[in-house]
Amino acid sequence: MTRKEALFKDIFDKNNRKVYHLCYGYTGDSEAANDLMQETFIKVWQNLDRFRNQSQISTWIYRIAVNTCLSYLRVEKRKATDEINERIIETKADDVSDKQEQVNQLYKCISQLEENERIIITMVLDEMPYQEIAEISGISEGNLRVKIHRIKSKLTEIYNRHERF
Amino acid sequence: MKDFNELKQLWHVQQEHDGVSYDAILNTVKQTKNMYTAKLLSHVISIAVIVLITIYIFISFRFHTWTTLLSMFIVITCLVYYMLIQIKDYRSISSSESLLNKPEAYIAYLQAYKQHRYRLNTRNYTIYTISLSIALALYLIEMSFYVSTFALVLFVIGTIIWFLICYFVLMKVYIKKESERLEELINKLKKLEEQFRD
Repeated sequence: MTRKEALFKDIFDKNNRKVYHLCYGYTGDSEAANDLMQETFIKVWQNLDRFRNQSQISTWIYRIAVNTCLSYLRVEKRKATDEINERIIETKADDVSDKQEQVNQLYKCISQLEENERIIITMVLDEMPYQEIAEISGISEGNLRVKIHRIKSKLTEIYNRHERF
Repeated sequence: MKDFNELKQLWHVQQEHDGVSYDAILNTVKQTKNMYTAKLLSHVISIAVIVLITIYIFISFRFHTWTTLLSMFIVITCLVYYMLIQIKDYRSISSSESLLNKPEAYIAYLQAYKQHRYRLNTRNYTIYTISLSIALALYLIEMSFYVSTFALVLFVIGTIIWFLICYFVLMKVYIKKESERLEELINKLKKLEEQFRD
């Protein structure tokens, strides 16, 4: 294994979970999330030599992930897979744990938010520092705090509305 | 009823996903890179071969008219231009430095890139077609010395039909496809830009 490959493996192991959450939160589709995560890490690999420690590597990777999500265009495919996923979730409902089912429900609720809200909330749920989220999303920290407050209330409301039914 | 902190706790119990592995990504990287390199290489080699053949003909054969020489010069220029565009696009695909920009700058980059592609497919392709047509027309003057009028007319009609098919059918379909993607992307990006701003 070359030095670059070893570094890449280390980066992948430390960040793949969070990047997957971001992509899943954005698309609401696990298959598309896998595609986007793969695309993100391919870009990370291609640009690894350009990373010059100006920011934390996680910030850098998240920015690539956010931009990859933003240019995600397979709307038709997503609609189709959404329906399939719903069916899969329904038929597999007995197999998955109760908690996992609630997580799936949470992802469904996230997918009902606006695109930028999905990106921000998945980072909040993964407990990223606000400063880092502001840096990644390109907005001021003050503006971000207001946004996060609004998104938290919105998501909680959507989730509780779904839970009642 | 759950509050946000409970949702956060729930978020952290989610199962590990096993969709994409580190090895799979590295394999894809290698395959994609090889695919792009092979594609670019085949383009460059085929164009280089045509350019060399044209230069060989240019030097070795004796032509009766200067128009043929001008025709060859135009063809070589077009081919070299096409080759340079291929190399430039390949380099921009493999560098993707813009990905490291903040979303707003990235959106601006994508808009500029898509517009550049549109210009390339419309204005530049028209210039390319016109240049090749002029080159061919110039060569026809030389051809008229060697072939019968009937063969010449057949060749001209065949060439015109092929050019028209390329310009009005194949290229229109290609531009339409790319424009739709461009339109969709720009609309979506504009919407996102507003979301990030408010």
